[in-house]
Amino acid sequence: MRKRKLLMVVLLTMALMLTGCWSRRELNEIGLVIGLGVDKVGDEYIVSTQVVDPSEIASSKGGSGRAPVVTYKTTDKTLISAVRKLTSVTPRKLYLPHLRMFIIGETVAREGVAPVLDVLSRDHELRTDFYVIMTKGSKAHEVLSMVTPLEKVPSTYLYTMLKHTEKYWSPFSTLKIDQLDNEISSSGKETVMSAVATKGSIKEGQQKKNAENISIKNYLQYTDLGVFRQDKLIGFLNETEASGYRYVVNEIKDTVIEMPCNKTHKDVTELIHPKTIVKGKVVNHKPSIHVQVKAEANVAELQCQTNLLDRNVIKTLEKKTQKEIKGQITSALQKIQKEYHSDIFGFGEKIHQTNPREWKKFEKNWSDVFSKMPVQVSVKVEIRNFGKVNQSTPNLK
Amino acid sequence: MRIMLKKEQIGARQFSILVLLFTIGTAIIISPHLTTTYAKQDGWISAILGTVMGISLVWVYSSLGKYFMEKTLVELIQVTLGKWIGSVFSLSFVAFLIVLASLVLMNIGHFISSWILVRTPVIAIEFMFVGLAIIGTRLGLEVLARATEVLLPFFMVLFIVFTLGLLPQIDFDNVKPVLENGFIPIWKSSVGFTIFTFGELVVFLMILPYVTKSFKSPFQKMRQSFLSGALFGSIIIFILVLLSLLVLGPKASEFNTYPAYTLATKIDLAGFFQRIEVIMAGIWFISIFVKFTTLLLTASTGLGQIFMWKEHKFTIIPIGMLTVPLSLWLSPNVAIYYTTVAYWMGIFTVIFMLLPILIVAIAWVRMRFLNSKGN
Repeated sequence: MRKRKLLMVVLLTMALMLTGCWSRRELNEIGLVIGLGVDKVGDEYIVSTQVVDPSEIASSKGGSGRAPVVTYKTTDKTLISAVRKLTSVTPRKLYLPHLRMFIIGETVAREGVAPVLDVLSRDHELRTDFYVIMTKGSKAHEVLSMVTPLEKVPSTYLYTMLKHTEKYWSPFSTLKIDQLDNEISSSGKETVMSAVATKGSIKEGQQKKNAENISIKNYLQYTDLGVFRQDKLIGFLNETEASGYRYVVNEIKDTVIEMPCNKTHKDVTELIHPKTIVKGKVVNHKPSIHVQVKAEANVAELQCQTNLLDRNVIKTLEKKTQKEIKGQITSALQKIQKEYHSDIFGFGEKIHQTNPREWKKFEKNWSDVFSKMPVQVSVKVEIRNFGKVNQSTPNLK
Repeated sequence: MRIMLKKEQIGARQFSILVLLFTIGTAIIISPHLTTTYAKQDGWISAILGTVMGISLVWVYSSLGKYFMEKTLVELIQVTLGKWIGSVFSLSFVAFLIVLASLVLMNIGHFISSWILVRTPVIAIEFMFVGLAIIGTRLGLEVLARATEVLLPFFMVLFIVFTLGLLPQIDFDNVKPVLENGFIPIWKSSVGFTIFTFGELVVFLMILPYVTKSFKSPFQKMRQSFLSGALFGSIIIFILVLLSLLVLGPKASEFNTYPAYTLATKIDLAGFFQRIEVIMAGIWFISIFVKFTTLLLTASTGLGQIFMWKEHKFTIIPIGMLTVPLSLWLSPNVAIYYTTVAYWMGIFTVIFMLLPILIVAIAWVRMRFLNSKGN
């Protein structure tokens, strides 16, 4: 019995030493990395690392006036050693699992992103839930050092902004690392990446007082959608074309459609749950694609005199909405097929899925075949709700 | 003849659960890789085909069960082939079990050290795991079987959460086109899947004699529990392979070293129910623990039966400790495991998978021969 008790004591003491302290990292010793940016100068990468100062974010009394985040800049030939170099600048060991944004500078995007992506899927600390975006015009470092309003941490600002714009406004899409890996290695679907730009003056935007004004002059904005071929940036889609693209890939969740009702005014409908079905077929060794968009819509804003209780008025609104969507899709198709020759729509995958044998013949010169491929677009919109009133409000009659 | 574990008996249900968790064992980590290597997006068909082949193998084993109702495989080998030739076969079988155990250990060790405790040496992780397994094994088969009964609900709850958490991310385009390259790659993948998932079930021919016979038809009951355990285990693996393909896609299933864990990192319900992958890893901690302890126990009893020791438990610690350096020596990294080690292990598994069939055939011939001689 005594022996048993002694054994218990020994085991319990051992348990105290086994609490996983081997590679422990205390919360006040780690720096939470929330944003990473990569630029390139010569053959060296400039890695900007945005680290959070938790006491500045969490304090309810307004903090001590220090910046809530710090963006470090280090230069090296590889990403990981650039991040490691930071230990000579920062007092804290960097901790990556809370990364929100990975920002690729335009220069890197043009040269090819594959070399910078490996570490993102290899390093055990990184998860797959951060967004990958690129910059347009500015450098990743500049984007990460802007002082942002409403949200203290610029990376979180970019993250939530992208998340919401993806949901309620059509042109921009979120992209995660595993999807990016898949698309770069696939021959039937190319990548697109939302691009962020700095508006106003970067120098002033980096000052703390940028967030002190009520009207913000210098800010970050998602502007375009970068089009890639394999891992290289080849051009951009503007907002309209980007919306068209996102209809085709069935990513749009909720958006509004503007259409002219007379020379100066416009009507707006709101799309709810648009659904796109893309069908590929091969007839006589020639591939073709049929894009079908189906959506329900609500009337969102009417600037002209309209009585919604008239069936024909609804019909014309539906037709106009359809025409508008179709126009956006065609503009995207035109630009991509005529200019970029990069199958961002994933039409190749569709052909692959439906006609695997024929696909083998197309696969090698797919971008040529794709550029000449006929694409048929049909859009069907049904208007369901009018909102709270059934006539345009300033009814002059 | 029967010296060891004479009094130990496990119930049919316990046996069934033991088979279930053993079948899932390491397969839950490596099966998405095995099935997609050749078959790509048709990996799930490979899994079905492999399950059909595997279940037929289990059916064959349970049919041989009449021979194994009283004697373990090692004992039957000793009786049929005689002391000397028999010992050669039995010892190589026990060696196979030890190597298998060390590879199971290597799987869990590499997994933890490359994903969770990166700075901790593999050897420390493996010693902890082996220490726990040794304690469990020394308590004997009955305790182990009861432990699996306790662990199963935890396993099931975790697995159900895992599956439900991934359902929103399923994309059926990932498994299209079906049968792109015909049946040959599917066949190739399913062979590997069958060998590594079901071939190792040969171990249970060492445990069958300890399944209770307090039923009306013990043989029927045994066969039923063996088959149902293997079947439920393979259904769970099939679900995992399917989820891996539907969520990660064929490429990521093949290139990720541990697709099941990558899958778990993707669970994110409403931005709230997320970052639970380490809890999810409990799924294979449980199944791998059961597999490892079963292997350790059978290796130790097998050794005891070869040398007819009255007590076999003193071999558990040395065998357990042996598996740690063996695991590091056999596969210093995952690349060697997936190429060289998996290749040779496949061959050996096939040999030992077919061994009981051969032994039973010899036993049957001898029995007939002796009978006719007697007449």
